[in-house]
Amino acid sequence: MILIDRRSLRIFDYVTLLNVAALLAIGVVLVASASAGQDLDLARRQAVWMAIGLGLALVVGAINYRHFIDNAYLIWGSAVVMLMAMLVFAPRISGARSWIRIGGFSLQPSEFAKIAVILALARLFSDREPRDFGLRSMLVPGFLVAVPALLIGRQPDQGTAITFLPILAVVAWVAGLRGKSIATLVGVGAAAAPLWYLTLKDYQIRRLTSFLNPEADPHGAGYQLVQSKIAVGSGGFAGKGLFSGTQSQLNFLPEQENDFIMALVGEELGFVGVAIVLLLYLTLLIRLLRAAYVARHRSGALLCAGLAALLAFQLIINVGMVIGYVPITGLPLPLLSYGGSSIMSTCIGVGLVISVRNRRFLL
Amino acid sequence: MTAGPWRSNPGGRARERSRKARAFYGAERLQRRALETDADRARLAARVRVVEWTVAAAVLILLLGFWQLQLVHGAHYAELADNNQLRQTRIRAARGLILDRNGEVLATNRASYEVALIREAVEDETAVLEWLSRVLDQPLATLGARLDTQRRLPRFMPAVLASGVSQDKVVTIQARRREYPGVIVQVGIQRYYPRGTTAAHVLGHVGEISPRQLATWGSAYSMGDIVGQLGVEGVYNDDLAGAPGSKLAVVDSSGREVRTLDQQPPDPGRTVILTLDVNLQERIEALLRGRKGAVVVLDANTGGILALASSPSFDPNAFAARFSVQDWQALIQDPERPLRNRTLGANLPPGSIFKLVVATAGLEEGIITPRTRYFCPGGKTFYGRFFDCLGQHGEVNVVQALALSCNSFFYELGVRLGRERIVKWASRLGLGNVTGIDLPQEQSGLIPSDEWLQSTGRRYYPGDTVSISIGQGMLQVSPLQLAHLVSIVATGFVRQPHLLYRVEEPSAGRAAARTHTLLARPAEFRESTRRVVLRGMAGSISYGTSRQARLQPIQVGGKTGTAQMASSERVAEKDEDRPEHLRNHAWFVAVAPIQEPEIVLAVFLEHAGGGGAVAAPLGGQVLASYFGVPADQVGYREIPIDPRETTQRGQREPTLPAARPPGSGSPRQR
Repeated sequence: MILIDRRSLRIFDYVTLLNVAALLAIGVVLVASASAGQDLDLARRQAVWMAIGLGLALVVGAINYRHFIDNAYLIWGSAVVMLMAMLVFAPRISGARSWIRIGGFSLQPSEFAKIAVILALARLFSDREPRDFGLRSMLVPGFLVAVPALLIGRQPDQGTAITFLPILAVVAWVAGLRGKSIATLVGVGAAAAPLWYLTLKDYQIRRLTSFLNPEADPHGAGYQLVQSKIAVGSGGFAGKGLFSGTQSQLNFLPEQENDFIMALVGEELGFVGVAIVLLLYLTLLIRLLRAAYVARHRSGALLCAGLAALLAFQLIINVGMVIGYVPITGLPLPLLSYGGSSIMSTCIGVGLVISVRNRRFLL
Repeated sequence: MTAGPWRSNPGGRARERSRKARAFYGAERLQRRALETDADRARLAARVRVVEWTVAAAVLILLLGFWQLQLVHGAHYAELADNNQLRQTRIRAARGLILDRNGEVLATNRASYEVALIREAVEDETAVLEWLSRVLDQPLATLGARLDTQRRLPRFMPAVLASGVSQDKVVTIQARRREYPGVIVQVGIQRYYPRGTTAAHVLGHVGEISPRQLATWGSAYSMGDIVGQLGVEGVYNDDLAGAPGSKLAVVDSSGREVRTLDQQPPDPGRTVILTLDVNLQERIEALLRGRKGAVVVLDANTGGILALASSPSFDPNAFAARFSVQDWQALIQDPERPLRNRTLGANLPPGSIFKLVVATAGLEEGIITPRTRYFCPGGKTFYGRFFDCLGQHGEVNVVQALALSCNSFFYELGVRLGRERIVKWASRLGLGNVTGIDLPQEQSGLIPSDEWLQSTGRRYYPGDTVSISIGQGMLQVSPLQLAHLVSIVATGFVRQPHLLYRVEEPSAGRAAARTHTLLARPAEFRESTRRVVLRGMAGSISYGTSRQARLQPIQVGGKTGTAQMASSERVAEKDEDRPEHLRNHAWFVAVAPIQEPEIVLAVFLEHAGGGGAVAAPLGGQVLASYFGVPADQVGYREIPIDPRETTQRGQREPTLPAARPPGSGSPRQR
């Protein structure tokens, strides 16, 4: 039923795929460096994820993305059902019901829910007349986003839940939401923030505010940030070299293969490494957004914009966190951080964008 | 090639209609979705471009951030990293004490030598492990497994391989420090139970946190923590554990601590004070030594546990030093099951102790009055089957029936009550449900309630009622439940059995963190019923089956029970001739002093024989120990009996004054 014609392979967007592959490969090396002296199991797993991810991007890229757009609501519904089931059945692992075990691997369904929401939003907005619209038209998209976001917030995984907001904002903006409406939304959001703050637990507040003055609490929430800044800062221009960062090799840096992997880049590869990695991300993001220009259909264009928004937001928040620009949240760095679910969902998303590009000449 | 959703689908009217609809709407929708006009495309491009610039600007800001951190302030951070590396480590909190009601220490901590390995300094791990295996006298596989669980530790951190190492072994290891530089000896804290096996089942033990506990208890604990397992150690772990402290230290480039920057001392665990009287407990355990069984002593006025002994026992200190696999296997495979807490395991028929329930039910339901008499010819036939009694008691009332443990009386009464009313009163007196004591693994036991019969689908025959009237058949109880039952019957109040007296803060004048709330409610029977049942229990001591527990000068009420384990074919054999697992269980319960109950006790001896012959004397010794009466005051001596009062077996006794004993009974009576 789903066929891959030779033409789509010939015009396949290998440049984007190579860009992704480069980032994934850097990730494998970094994970190996982060766990050096212990065992290479993590790096080996990361390499497997890399292979699976690239394979997924290749396959999804060769499939016509409109199959996914046509079934977008079904995909969204299954994702929501899955998230509900998580709250009931998933075991509590370090305090959150975010993971399920399949075979020998832990999967995080919330990562896949992001793709489902992007698909559903692309479908919804492309079904509508392409003209300016106001806040009233945001009710249904708001619902599509709020349901999975609240379910993920309940796990509790507030970091992942928040990534849905930029997706909604960017897709709605590209689809034609009035500038005035966006201003209103931002205003309401700013007014609601204090209320949200009240619902947070003590430790969450501490995590959120400690980035302003990490030295005040070097034992608790500020510890990670202090260590992260020392790691990055001491890397200097050229870095200390792979496998020889003292901060990371001596285990001062918690979560160094996960959320703080960018600190490892800073320490071991220096400013040069950071610049290369950030440029790789920037070219990837620009390529994803350029696919929106050339898309044949509105749905494709919105899909590209949504995915770019997701990746850009995670990049900015995660990297900003490492150097103390934004609060510490549990968001992984897409493609670089250790973890199969994030890699697979990102690769599926990139595959969709490649598919949009591939079909720019087709009806 | 067209794909699924657009493929035409011939055949079937409904399909045809949907194809048409799809052709119509689908075509239009496709039109709308395509970016047909240049205007559309231009507007979309303009908006995407805004996103593009925003992203680019954000990435640039991040890059500037790194520039500032790495190039502008790089030297500063490099210095911090080179000279002043910070490391945060946990400091383990001292576990809280466990005390008995008089402040005697049941569990404390002591320093112990730990042998640890710093992998960084070891070249040939296998050689070192082999050497340690010989010195410590532990299998190589055990040491290897222990090291493997700690491989995620940084290589410069010591991985503990053995704790509780003796002084001479420490000396041997330190003598060869130059040969094996990676092996260090450090001092750690180890849980210590100064009284060894005493109250082991109450206290439980400590052990390394299991992955399952780690997952359920969450963030306050981390891998390798020592936590309470089972018993009071487990139930009150949150109080006893305290909170770990942390140390922020400056370390040099090889990971060694240079100086301490900041230290948050750990909060030691709270002191848990139990209602237990450890001296009484110790004397009871001495009485139980060499036997299998259990003794429960309750404070009748509070429900507090004074003693809870299960035999055979184990030494919880063995768990405190990291346990070897062999030790563990030996302990769980011991046929005597020393780890099992026999006071809470409820798979035992109560035997004649259950007559207390049937008597209460009969009096309360109006089936009998204290004056009602039934005739005992030495057994009775119900539903075509003969049920025997161990004596021929003649006409007896309820007080005498309890005292002499007359089966015939209770067969008759039980049949008139019927299953439902017996079950109702068993439940009101605490059977068939957990007592709610603050210990894990309490079992609820079994009474043949409607729910139980329905859920198991067991057939219930009228003859079963005859059996349960004397505590055989579909009844299962625990020693604790029987002690609880006697406390209800004897005091007229239902009190929650409990071990916790109070929890105190470790310092600051021992402020009470909390005190156990006493729970008591009046039992649902009349005062007159209580008095009659107590007269039966008093009679059992003075002239009935519990004479072996008689104790001068304290007035005691008692009741014996013998739970038959043999099927009906083997009942004919003498108990002592049967194989051990078919021999009878012996029961004895008591309350003393009978006028103003102070304590209640239950004695259970596994496969030991008759309750009156085996359990009652032991119960008497326990009572003597509690009241401080010399042990030789326990029991009764044959006194020459006035021949006028003797009765022949099977002879009718027309009237018997309730206050007077109906003779001495036959020596075969239980």
